[in-house]
Amino acid sequence: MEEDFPTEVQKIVEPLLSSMGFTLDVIDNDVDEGGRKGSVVIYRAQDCKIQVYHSSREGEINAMIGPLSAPNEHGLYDQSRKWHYFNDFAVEPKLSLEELVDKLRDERVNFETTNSWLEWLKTERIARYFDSAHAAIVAGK
Amino acid sequence: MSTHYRGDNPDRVVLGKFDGHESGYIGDARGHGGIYFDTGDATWDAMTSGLSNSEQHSLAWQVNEQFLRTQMEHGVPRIEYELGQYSSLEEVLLKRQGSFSAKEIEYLTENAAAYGYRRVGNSWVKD
Repeated sequence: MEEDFPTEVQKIVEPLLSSMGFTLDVIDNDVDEGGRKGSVVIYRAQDCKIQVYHSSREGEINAMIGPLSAPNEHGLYDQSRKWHYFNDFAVEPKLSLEELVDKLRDERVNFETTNSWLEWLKTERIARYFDSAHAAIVAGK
Repeated sequence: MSTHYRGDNPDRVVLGKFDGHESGYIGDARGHGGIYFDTGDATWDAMTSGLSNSEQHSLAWQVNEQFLRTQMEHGVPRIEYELGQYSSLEEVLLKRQGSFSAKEIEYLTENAAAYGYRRVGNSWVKD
């Protein structure tokens, strides 16, 4: 059975976002991906927005942060460039591609189910990088 | 059909982010020549009917991986990842972990050398 992605987002990610002052703004479960369907769930706070998206085309679940002026669009196809991945502003050690693949290998298990992927996204992207991403967004970077 | 050939004797596989059929990796291959993978909607629907998102991802990746393996077994001269808005393969991997794009990059990084390929920038080139 196909699970309802927005419902899973609301169940797993929304409690954290609510505790941070975000409220549900938009759910679009019918994003056209060239004949397939993507989904996006967008939350709003006083000074920024957060979205969690699913892409059938890219086999991907991800989260982004943007200013209040960011369009309510699936981040993968956003043309405004106002939406950013949470680790866009993080300063990380520069590794070669081969070193990076090796370093991230153990994390692949997190992407095997929608639930585990959303749990990973909640802790390893939103919670981990929110402060640096939020500071950059409100500073207009 | 899932494997598409554009141009006369295309000598490269084109990978990258899906961004419609006129841009992204499909647009690049269609515009400049190349081999690309895109499961048609009817085939996709038949493949994935009744499956969860996780099961769809798993099945789609198996087919995608088989495409890459077959191309390398046939010795395609070059496999290119079109970066688009991204600055490097490392950025794609870091920002979009778990996506098909990231899986393609990981798969080629781990397996292309065994088929006689070496990475040059955002491409894998047959020696």
